[in-house]
Amino acid sequence: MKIVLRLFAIMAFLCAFVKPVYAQVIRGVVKNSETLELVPAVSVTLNGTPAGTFSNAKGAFEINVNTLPATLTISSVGYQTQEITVESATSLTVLLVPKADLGQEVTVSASRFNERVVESPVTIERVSAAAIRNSAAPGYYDIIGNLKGVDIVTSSLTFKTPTTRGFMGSGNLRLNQIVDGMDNQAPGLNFSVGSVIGLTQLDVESMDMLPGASSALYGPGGMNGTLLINSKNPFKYQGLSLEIKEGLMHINDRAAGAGAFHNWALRWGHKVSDRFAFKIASEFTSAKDWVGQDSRNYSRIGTDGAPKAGTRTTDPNYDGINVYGDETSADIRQVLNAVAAQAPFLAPYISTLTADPILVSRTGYNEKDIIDPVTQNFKLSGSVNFKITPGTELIAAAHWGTGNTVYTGSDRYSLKNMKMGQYKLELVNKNWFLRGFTTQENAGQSFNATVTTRLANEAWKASSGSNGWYAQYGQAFLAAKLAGQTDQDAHLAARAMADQGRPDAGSAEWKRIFDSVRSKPISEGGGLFVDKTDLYNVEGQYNFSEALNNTVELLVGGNFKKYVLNSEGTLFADSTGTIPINEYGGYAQLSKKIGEVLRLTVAGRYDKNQNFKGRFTPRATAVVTVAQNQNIRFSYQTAYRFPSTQQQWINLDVGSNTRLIGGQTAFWDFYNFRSNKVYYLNDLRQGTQTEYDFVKYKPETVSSFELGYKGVLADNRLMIDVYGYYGQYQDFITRTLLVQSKTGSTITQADTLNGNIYSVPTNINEKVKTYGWGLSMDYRLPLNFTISANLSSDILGDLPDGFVSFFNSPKYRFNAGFANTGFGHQKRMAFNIAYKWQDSFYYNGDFANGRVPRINTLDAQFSYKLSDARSVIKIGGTNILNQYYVNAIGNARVGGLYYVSYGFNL
Amino acid sequence: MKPASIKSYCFILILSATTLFVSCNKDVEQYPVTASDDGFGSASVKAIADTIATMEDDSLFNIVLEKSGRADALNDKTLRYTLYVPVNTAVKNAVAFLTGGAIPASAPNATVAAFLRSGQFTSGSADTLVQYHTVAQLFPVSAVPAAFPNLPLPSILNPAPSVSAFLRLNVFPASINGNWLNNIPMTGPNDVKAANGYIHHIAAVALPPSSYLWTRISTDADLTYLKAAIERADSGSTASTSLVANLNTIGPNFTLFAPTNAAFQTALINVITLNLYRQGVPLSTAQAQASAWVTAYGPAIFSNTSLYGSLTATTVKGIIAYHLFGNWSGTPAGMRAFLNNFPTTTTWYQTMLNSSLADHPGIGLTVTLGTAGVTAATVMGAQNSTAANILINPTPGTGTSDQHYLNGVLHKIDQVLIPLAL
Repeated sequence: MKIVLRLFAIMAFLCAFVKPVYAQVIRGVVKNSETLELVPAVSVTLNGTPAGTFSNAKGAFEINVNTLPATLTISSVGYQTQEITVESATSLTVLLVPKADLGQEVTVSASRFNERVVESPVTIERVSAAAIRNSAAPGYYDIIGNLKGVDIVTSSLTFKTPTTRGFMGSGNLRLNQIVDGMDNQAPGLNFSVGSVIGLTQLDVESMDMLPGASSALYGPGGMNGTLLINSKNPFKYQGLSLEIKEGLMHINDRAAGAGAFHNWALRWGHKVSDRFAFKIASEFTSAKDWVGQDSRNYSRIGTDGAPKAGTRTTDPNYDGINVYGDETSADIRQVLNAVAAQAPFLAPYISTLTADPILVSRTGYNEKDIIDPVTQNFKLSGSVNFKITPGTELIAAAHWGTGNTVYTGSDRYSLKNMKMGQYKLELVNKNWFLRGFTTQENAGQSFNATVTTRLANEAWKASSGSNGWYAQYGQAFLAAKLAGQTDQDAHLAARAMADQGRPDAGSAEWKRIFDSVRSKPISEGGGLFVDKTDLYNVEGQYNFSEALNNTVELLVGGNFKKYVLNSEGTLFADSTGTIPINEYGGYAQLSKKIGEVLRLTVAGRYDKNQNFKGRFTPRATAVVTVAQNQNIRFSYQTAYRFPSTQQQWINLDVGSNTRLIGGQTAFWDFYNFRSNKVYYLNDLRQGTQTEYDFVKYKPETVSSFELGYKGVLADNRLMIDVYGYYGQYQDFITRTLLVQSKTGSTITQADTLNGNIYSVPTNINEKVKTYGWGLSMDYRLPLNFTISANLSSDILGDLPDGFVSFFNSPKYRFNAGFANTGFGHQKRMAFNIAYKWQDSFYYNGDFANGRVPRINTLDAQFSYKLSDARSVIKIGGTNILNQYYVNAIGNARVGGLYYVSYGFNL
Repeated sequence: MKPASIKSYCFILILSATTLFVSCNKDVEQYPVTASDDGFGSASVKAIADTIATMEDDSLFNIVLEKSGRADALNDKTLRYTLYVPVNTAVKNAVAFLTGGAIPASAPNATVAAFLRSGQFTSGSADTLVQYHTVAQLFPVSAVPAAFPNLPLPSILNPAPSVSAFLRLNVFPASINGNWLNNIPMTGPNDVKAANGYIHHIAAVALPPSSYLWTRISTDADLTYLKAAIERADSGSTASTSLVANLNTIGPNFTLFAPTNAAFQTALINVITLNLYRQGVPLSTAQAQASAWVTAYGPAIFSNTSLYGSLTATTVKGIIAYHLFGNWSGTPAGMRAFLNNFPTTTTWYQTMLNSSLADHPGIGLTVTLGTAGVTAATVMGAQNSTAANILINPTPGTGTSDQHYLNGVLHKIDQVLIPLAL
């Protein structure tokens, strides 16, 4: 933050002393020709010069010109562009005529240069600020889930992970999220934090979702797409904006009573002069969070498993998916055999009980009992923008956020008081940019739910020992059996005995025990993981097109990235010091329009990570204009992903004798893999001893072909987009389980669950094929009504036997919308109805697997503008039919959220 | 037109909504729990106590059961039991035994019933009997393995709850040479399935043991040499691990072949004669000397220090260990063998001596069974020229075979068994 403050001071200084002198000032105000509402953020440019400005929050603008008459171009998305010749320096009133603007928005996301959406060479799903305003979703991030081909994993109210074309997961590593040019990934935790610590609601100008492979443009990681979120420039979006939402959640929720939802957002953008502007934005969210409440019994082996029959009552070894602490399991035959040794007259009888293992789990606690039920999120961001010249802007920006949320990785992680800041210094010109940013992460008081609860159970009563929980349980079980009780009743009696005095969930004693464990670092026997990993990145790009007289579009760019892993030994193998990881890359793109019909683009990118061989990813696209506003696109794209920082260096005990470790060879030596041999667990369970083959892991890659069509038809009222793709993944990074004897002797099939289990990253050599298609339609009806619908499908090709793909995608999903951005008297009323349906699918996750039922949700809002007060009152909700669902096993169960909001100058 | 259009759109909206929202989200797939059904617990079937009340040949034991106050527990359908019920004849025999014949076994049911209901037969005694005949788990006859000699199962009788909640007196169902509980044949009907367990029938009341082997050894006038030999064997042992201590506590599980005094005298004369002969004493002189010593010293011969050279503690301990039947290196150590379960052809088994001499052949057991039960049984020692006879008389407390104690069973034999190493 200090760096940013200094930059702010420097810019203010420059602003004060560098004042250009103009001869005339043209002032004006822009209004909607139909409603006579003032229109802010309208572009006003002086023809033939780079000079320009925007109307402010009250629709007013002023622009300096050297001479009169001067011709101004007035333009804004959703309105017809006007050219006005100004003869004298009088005050103007410009009436902008609204128009349907399907596919005409300009984006740089798809090709890194300006082009209309309808001309994009790859599929792009754009969400504009207007769409955000009219959405029923309480937050902009929620809108992404209604886009064509997008799936969402909801881990908590504020932790939602989008993905496209399969391989969905909480904290998906295969979808880049770039916010104002900054990779939004938490460098230590690896997931993108867009919904937690990203832009604030009122500062989002647009979102572009690029489904599919995109490494050639945006670097490693974009295997399944890239989400670009752009903020509002303070030169363009000025004035004070605020929005207050108050809502209600958890109606008929079996895990919690009804709770309030609060969301307050504030933004102030101010143009101090034609050269200097700044903005500050913040957002605060507080609500009773959705919680994981899947209490089904789970058959867990390492990081694999499946739901199974049984409850806490019927299965003494019950391990509920969202129940924690019950992962501690032991065979009470140890206790019974010890009794038999002490009381030989019981030995024959005990032997009748102990033919098979009697596995018993500790009594667990539900997720709602251990994770703070109130999620809070506070975001603060701002920028100072200084135009060094009319075409070159220096931007110092900061995005900072803190809060608590829940993420699902190999476990449920409570990210408590997590803090993350992204700080950027950027020089932007229409032909080039130079950008440096850093991501500073602090996991705060975050903890792993399972490990922490298990340890808290131990802190209350140790499992082992002559008077430990299992000793008490085993003896009580035997006593109950000797009294004639059935196995089930004997287990229940034994549990009641061993659990005597167990602190109730929510009691002060439980809180004291749990808090003492979770506040102690993992390295000291607690559940707290300390993550202060940082990322530093510098990048630049130059567009040589003008230098080449626009005969071709040529872009060249590159970046250098440095991770500094710092978890103090709680997450990474960094107990002796931080671990640096360096990565660099470069790219070039050449594009040429051939005639009026065809545009060809080729691009390539090379990246090198210090721990892996370099990778080159090519991309080629072609756009054929078959008629005005109708284009056929074809693309061949590749992408790859270096193993994440966790996949390289994690060293985390997740319980059940299981440790997640990175793929670096240093782990092989540290855990004596060569002297105390390790074997593939699943093979061993089936009776085959297969020694670990010490194959080094490597980046995974995907190549994808896509054919699509986008056209605006029916007198510019209908936009259709259709695509089909075929992708082939190779060297898929996954995890496999190894097992090692605890004693050093050769491990046997019978001992598989008693050994040291290691989950190590590995590559799947088999190629995985995916294909799919999507179809969308947007139709502008009269009177400003619109209907939209999209249908998409993603399919996984044939897999080798036993291959777990983590494809995690419904075969079909469907979205439909019906909306109006202004109808009735002075078009003050608006509404939006969005329906989403997705098919059932089988979900694989390191935390839990299982079938996700099909999902229907209906979101809706109705709003009324108070035009004179520049205000909007909205009532709306998501999942308004309150049809609870989960979109990933083990994650939050989501119900309806209903709100009323007041917005000013949105 | 404008209002009409809005209405049209609203109509479309409502129609669409109606079409779309007919289906509800389903919860995640549930895996129904298959109730663990052991085939018991039926509400429509009588429980054990109620079932016994309906069985004519169980009428006398039913009186015992009623008197014990344990009928309610045995009618608890949430619990699982196996009850060995002595048939009426068995109860009559027991009453005759307990009353010293005052109520003869031939007495009519009504007489026996009156006795059982009288104060002469206490509710405590009734409860002890019922508990000893009850095993707290489902145990059909078919569940008893044919492994020699039997399967010790805890009855629900805890002889000393204040010592340990886990103390139980075992019963010993067996399925060798027929079906048995201890040394009592099962008469049937067996495997009578009540709502909460099985009912089997036995030919005699199983009297729970109430004293230790050492009590019998140390008080039986015909076992004074055995007593002295055991005490000699314990020379140098700590008190807690001594044979005497183990023979005098609950927990161990012995089958003791107890040589009578005569058997010991014969064996001692032979041993001393052999030692003297090895020292160069002529055989006839040695025999005379040995006989004189045995007669003169009596059981005290084992504590005569002048004979320690011939009767070392190790040697005596080895001999005693050779008379303690069972695999004492296994888990659980030892076993309790009733004669009815002995093999009908000579079969060799380990003894406690095998704990020290693993390759020792052990002892050979043989039983002869007649229609009324055991008629003869022998134990062959490795160096005995003939098998020792077990003195058959199973009368509880005063008999010589199948004498059942808290920590084992005793069978008197007419020879000392001589192991190989002696």
